Amino acid sequence: MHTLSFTTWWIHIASVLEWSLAMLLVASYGQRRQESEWTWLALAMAPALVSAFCACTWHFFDNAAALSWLVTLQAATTLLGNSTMALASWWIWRRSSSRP
Amino acid sequence: MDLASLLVPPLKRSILSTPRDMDHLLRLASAFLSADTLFGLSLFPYLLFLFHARRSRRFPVLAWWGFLATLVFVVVTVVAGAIAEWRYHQQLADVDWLHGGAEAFLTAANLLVALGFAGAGNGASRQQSR
Repeated sequence: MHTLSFTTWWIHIASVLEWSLAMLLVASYGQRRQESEWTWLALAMAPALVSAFCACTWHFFDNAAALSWLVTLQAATTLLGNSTMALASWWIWRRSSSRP
Repeated sequence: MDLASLLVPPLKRSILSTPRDMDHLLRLASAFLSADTLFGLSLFPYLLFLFHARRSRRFPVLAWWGFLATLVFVVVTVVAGAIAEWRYHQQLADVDWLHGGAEAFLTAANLLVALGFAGAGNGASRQQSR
């Protein structure tokens, strides 16, 4: 785990913590407004968190070439996560356009 | 870092007895499944996400800008990756200052997203993206 400096590790950990916090804040934003579509957005943000864990695991093992499948998995979960987020924001738009 | 070229040799060894077009198909499949291709493709649903988020006019303004700022991180990462390759002949993750420097843009973007949702919605339904 020494390929990344202490600073670079903290930058990574801060990104992951902020994303997790953002998921919780999106969910509570929806609860305050009593709009369930935000809960779906919060859930749609989960694959990106899995993606982040893949990247951090790969970095933890010093970016080992033998673990390059983790990078492929990171990319696949990024594609999945961006797609679920696109669906969630489409749903948020649709629900608002059907409201008076 | 071409994952396809890493994947293909073992695949080819295992299918020596299969027809030529099967070999070709497997090469295509593994090229498609490369991380670079998947990262590239992931940009399109993200642009759709941003488009509908803006169109809905329901996202906190700051959060929407945070989601947009994630694209800055993507651009910076691509440039940093190219510098790592051409100047240091290494992958981005192995050039610490470039790696940490690029990732810091994601930390900043995620902070905007979190702050945007934290500060909005307390009865102030006017706090919406234009």
